[in-house]
Amino acid sequence: MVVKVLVGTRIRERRTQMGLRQAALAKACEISPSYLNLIEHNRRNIGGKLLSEIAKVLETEPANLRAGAAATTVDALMTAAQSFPASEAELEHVDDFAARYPGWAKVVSEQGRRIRSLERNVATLTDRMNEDPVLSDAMHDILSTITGITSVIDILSDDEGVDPEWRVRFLRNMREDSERLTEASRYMAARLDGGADKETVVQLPEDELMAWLEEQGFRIATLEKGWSVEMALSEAKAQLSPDAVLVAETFLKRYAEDVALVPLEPLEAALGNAPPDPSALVREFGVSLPVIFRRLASLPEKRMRPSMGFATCDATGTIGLRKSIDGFPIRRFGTRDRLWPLFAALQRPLTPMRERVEADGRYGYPFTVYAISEPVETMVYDRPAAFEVTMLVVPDRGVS
Amino acid sequence: MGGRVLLIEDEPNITEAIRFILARDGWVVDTHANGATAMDAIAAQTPDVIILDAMLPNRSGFDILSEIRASDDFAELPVLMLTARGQDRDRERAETLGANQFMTKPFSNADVLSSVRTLAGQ
Repeated sequence: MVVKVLVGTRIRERRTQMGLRQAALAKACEISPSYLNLIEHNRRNIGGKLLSEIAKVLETEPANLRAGAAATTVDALMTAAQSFPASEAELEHVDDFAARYPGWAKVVSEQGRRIRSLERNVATLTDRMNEDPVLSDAMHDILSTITGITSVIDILSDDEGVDPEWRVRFLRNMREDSERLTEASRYMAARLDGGADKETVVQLPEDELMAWLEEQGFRIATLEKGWSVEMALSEAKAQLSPDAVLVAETFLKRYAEDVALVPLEPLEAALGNAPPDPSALVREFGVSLPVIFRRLASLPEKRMRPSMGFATCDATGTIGLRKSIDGFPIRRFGTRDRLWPLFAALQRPLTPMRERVEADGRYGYPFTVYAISEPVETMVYDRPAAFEVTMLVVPDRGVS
Repeated sequence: MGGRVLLIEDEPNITEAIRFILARDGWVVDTHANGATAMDAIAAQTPDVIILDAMLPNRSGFDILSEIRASDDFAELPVLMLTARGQDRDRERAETLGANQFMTKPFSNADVLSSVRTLAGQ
């Protein structure tokens, strides 16, 4: 949305600066003046070839029309305003504001970006805690036990009275629960103490990108709708640090290619309500397994179709992209034993691997993990090929 | 009052307490502790209300909820979801998947009772 608003406005600005009439620009680009008028008033989405054409006539780069430093500020201002709808910021004057008070505009946009970056930091930390199986089990135990105790206290202190036999039973339950609680809190205190200085909060650009992707459910809505990579990137620029934008660019380009090969609707139609069958999808769409894995991982969760986990790793075993799902956390560091299908695939390039991973602990349920190691680029003679493993994690429904 | 409640929860002490307060209020309470066989229990007991814990052995409550909503026979069955993690994400997920109510542990007996009454009245 934001980008759309800006491209048209900037075309109009640039054209007026050059003293070019709307009709003249339209003619040079072989479009009708009324269509150009719609574009300039941001009523038509524009990208690709036509934008290049217009940029050429306006003697500028397409990037200047859609990105540019000022444009990024305006994008960021719009994003910041959207985070505070109650502020009723005068959105229609955003260009004015940025032009008239560039310094203040920078402050506002930078603050917006910082807030989101900090929010993501907090989310990452919370996730780290949630994904710590020991901590989250202990927390679950404590909360469950407290629930048992408070319920029993309620019952016992009730005016209606409880007969002696039940009273004895409830007291016994409460004693048991209290012991459990003591145990669990001791354990948790020790765990928190021990872990306090082990992890410092360093936000790598990759982590920032992962947190950003997670916010969106690993989906880039604009690209799913067929918008250009530039537009998606412009959105990313308003929300991510410059380092993370560099990482995002590679991701977004590949995402757009994947969408072109396997668009959302045909994919959903092919899937139906059945569990995904990667082999069948490869045949249906005529693409490689990694493309199918990436597309499946970006599907939204639906009834009877759980969200699927995803990870990539390079030849050194370093995790690149990762999408954790309930019961199958994927971390860059820490316990990685459940990721062994990923590393097994690393040892056997070009061999599709499929493994069933059993439930982890008392509350887990099983998963089917698919992995394949493929060269990232077309193989040539004068350069060794870089391989990448792509992994998909599908929760198994039903009885374990 | 009265009606059948199926309580799917694996903590025996919580089960016992909830069963007690609901039974005292005139409900017939069936209990089940295993996630994997929860759907069979639902089919066998045909309850009026289900109380469903999010974390169960062998199968998650969210999974069970989505199967309930996708089934022909139980799509409309009122479900009260319980969780020991108060995260918004869990709440959102429960709502997306079609839970009628959502309760975070620790909850009070009165809350459970009034939820069950409300759900049964729907």
